[in-house]
Amino acid sequence: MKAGRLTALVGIVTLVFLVMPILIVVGMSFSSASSLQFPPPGLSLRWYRSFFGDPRWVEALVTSTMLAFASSIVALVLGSAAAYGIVRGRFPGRGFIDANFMAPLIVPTIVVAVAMYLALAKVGLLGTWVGLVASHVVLSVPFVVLVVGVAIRSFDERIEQVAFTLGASRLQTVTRVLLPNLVPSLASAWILALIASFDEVIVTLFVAGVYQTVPKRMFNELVLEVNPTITAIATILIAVSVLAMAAIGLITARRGGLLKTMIGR
Amino acid sequence: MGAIEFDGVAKRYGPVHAVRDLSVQVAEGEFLTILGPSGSGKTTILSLVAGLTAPSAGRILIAGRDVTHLEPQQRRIGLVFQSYALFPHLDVFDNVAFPLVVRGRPKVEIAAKVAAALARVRLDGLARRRPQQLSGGQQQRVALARAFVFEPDILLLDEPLGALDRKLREEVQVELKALQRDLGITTLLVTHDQEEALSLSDRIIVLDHGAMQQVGTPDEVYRRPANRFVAGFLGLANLLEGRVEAGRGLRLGSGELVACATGTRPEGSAAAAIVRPERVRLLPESAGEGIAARVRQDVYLGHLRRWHLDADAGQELVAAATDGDQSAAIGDRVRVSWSPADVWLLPEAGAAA
Repeated sequence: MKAGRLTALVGIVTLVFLVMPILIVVGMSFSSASSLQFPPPGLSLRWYRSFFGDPRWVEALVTSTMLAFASSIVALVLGSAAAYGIVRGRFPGRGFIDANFMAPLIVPTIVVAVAMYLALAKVGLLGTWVGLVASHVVLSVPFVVLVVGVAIRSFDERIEQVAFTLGASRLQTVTRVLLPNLVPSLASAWILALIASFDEVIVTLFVAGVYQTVPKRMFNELVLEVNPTITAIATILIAVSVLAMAAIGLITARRGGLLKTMIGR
Repeated sequence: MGAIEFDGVAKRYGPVHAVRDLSVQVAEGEFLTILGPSGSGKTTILSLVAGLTAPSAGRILIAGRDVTHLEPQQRRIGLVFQSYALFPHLDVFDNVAFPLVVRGRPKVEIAAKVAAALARVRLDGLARRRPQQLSGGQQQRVALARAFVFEPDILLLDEPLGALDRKLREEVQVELKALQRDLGITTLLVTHDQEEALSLSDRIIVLDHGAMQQVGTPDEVYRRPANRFVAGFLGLANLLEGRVEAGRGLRLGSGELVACATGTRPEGSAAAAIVRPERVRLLPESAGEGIAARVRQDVYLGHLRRWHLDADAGQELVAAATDGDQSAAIGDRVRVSWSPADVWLLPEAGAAA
């Protein structure tokens, strides 16, 4: 009983500790004060106006969005193909290749950033759009390989084997049998890759050159001065992440629901 | 439609011999079952024929065509897995249409062929259902229709009845046999269920540790098994061991003589014979013939009653009869007898004495 209460207390304190800063930032973003103050003396949307009224911020938002879409789509295509090869392939060294795709998730980001910086400089892509997209692909591809890999692994291989015997080529089997059954996982993987790119700052600082993404701009602004506009941007980023996670939750819940009805019958 | 020929087919996984030197011919239109316990290599044989696994040695011919190195797509085989492996995102019609669609057949032809196949398996009204909305028996029929709709040379069935409950299984057995006969399609079935094998097959291959133990009609493998493994795998058998007395029978270790045909076995050679339980008669203790025994257990099976007996000489025996035909209670002393024609001397070499 006592241990249970202690666990609950620790849990609540931890939760408050984690959520409080976010709530404070969200609260301050709606503040009418011209400096960072909490609690806010009054409510206003002035910092959101300041964000959307500043062409440099809008440009950063456009860059971030385009970068997130471009890199997540490339990551989805390449990562799914890699996951298929890793799960269904029968060649040696699959474990090594799998680990290699996962590395950016485990290796400290600063190490990845330095490595990308040197590699892109070597091939002359440092500071270019292509180089920036490529580095974001490297960072978001682990999410795709992970999520799609699990989905392929849990899809009965005999269904694909039957498709072969029925005359379907490997390509037909992938497009007509495997992919239609992976749609929920592909959607989840894509959203995760999108967020991974949209939030990224460290690697971007190293390789983006003149390109300004929202997180990069926030970082640079904070170095110069603490402007409450930051809190409005942070709130927008938090909202995007929350909405994306909610979308993934909905997709997987629907799939769970479907599974339930299947078993129920 | 066509025959299948295995010519010295073997499959090794590292040091493990999954299939050893299999050579057998399956006639056109024949229903052949590969029967064996799990791990005997029967599923490996199925994937070798389907082209999902490549053999380590030997050739496989289907309808006279060497398919050993062909992809599954080029083999013209209809495959049904125990799990059915239906496409979960497609309805019944599209599942059955799949092999025709990937072959790029015209829509009109697909509609006609799918309708005919669905009618053949009595699923006419269910074309727009999803697999998840069907019963196990219906799913199995969809898988079957999908496997024969494109007129393959042969049909491969992997324990197709394994996932059905007992009552349904008996129905489907009858249906499956009728369908196979109608289509006249060479069929290879893989199972560990001896009843399924006996009731469906024209011939049975009994497999153990990757090696073919016997091939023959259901009647042959049941009544005249090649060795102890086959005798034991296809139902219960009373195993009698002793030495041959040429022209008279088998002298058991306990001294009793079991009369049977001894063929060309040399006098005094060690041999083993079997008698199936349903061939064993129980006689009253006062009868002048048979082996004296005591009833240890009396098992009621509905259509049958089975008795486990301890012979006075120590041997364990089993007798079975249609319920009501014979009776004996636990502890009863009886005499056990059979006709010499029902004793089968195992042809296996080097039977232990």
